[in-house]
Amino acid sequence: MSNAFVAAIHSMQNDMRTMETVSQNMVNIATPGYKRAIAIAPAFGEALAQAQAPALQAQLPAAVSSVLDLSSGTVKQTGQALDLAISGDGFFELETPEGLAYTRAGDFRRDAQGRLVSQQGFAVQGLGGALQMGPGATIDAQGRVMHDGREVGQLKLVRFANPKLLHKTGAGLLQPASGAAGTTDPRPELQVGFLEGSNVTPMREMVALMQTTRHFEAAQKLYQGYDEALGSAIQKLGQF
Amino acid sequence: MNDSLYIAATGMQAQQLSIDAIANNLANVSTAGFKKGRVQFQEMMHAGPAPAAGTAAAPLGIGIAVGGQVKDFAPGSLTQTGSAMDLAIDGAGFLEVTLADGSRGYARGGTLQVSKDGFLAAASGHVLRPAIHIPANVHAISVAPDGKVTVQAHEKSAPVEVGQIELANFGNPAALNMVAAGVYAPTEGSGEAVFGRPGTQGVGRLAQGALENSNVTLVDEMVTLMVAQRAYEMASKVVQASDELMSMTNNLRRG
Repeated sequence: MSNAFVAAIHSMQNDMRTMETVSQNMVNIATPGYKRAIAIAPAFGEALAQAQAPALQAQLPAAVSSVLDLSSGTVKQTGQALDLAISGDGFFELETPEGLAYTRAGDFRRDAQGRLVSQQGFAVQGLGGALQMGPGATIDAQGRVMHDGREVGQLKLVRFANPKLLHKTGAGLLQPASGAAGTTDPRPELQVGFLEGSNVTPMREMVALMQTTRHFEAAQKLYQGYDEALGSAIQKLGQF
Repeated sequence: MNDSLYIAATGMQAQQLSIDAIANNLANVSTAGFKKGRVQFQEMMHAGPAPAAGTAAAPLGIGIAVGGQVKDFAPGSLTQTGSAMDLAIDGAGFLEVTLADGSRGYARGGTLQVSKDGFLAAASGHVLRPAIHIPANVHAISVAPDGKVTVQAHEKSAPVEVGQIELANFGNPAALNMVAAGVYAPTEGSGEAVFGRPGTQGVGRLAQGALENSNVTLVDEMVTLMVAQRAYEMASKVVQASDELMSMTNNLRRG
């Protein structure tokens, strides 16, 4: 097949993948602690070279990859005693069946055993394992769990020297790449009764959506134009 | 295939459920003892196809999931009504009642009534547990803040104790399931009921002659409604854009 066709189809398929990333961001605009993904398309030249390389032609085109934007989302007041927002860097540590995972979503609750758990039911970790919150226990801005005026636990916040090594797991939580361990924050600072929202900005996503649609359209026109040129060339040749 | 269309559809469905919950909250803004519900959003991902050797499989976003509706049991403010049969719990806790099938239910006070057999019952008509028998033709019933129920046969007669109201509390009341108007049943997630005399063990005191207002705040609901409406609109734009992409794909072949 002709190179121009391959390049156009390649570009259109990549736009489809970009659209998925953009739409994932857009639907999660109200999900607490959501971190938006940025789609990265390979450069056109790179894509073309890949398509031209005979060995790669039989394979699927290289998909658009994405990186996470870990900037913090807007913090809103909820007034719920178990809603925690992290001031500054750091992540909450959760125990999941796939090992420890990290999140900035602080919409916690108590489970039937009195543990502090995330919305999916994963236990929030304190300095000494899962954090117990008996009835009447409260949590303060330094992450201390207080019960009847006594300190009964300490919430654990973990910082990563290089947060770029974090990637999303199946449950939308973050996990570090193997070998990248975090350090426990010695002085955690929280806002109690507040919740960190999603860091998606509607404007930016809307622009990305339009850009992607138009880019797709441009590739479609390229395809159509080349198809037309080929068609008329064949017609002209046939007239001889 | 064009997954963005389905991702956007999950967004519209999630916001629709959120708007349903807000509508229910707004409709019950002046229902005594009403507890607002809130839809919880979670990002939905699935692990991609088996990765090529040496590379980690990047989980793919497949939209948004609704993690269920949770009840917010924050106490509402109390309104004095002066009616002796109105009972509110000032703080955490539930009155235990017997449901029609004999199982236990839990209610947040309200206007009590005396059943036809002479037992004290919650506003929904379910008899309190343990049952408290109110003799016929009493002059006055009073409920002390610590739950002691006394009756007076005549205006001048001495109060006679007829029972003691105990309050139940749960590890995670948000997981309670509503089974009748204002009556909840425990679930696996809520934990077992822990009983205490009113004013002890973290449960609130009783307030006779008062009703608990709905804990819905109009401003919160309006703001949440606006966000939900705009998020729905945004998801619908993604649907439009995905549709455009598909239409353009079909038009690759002209004529």
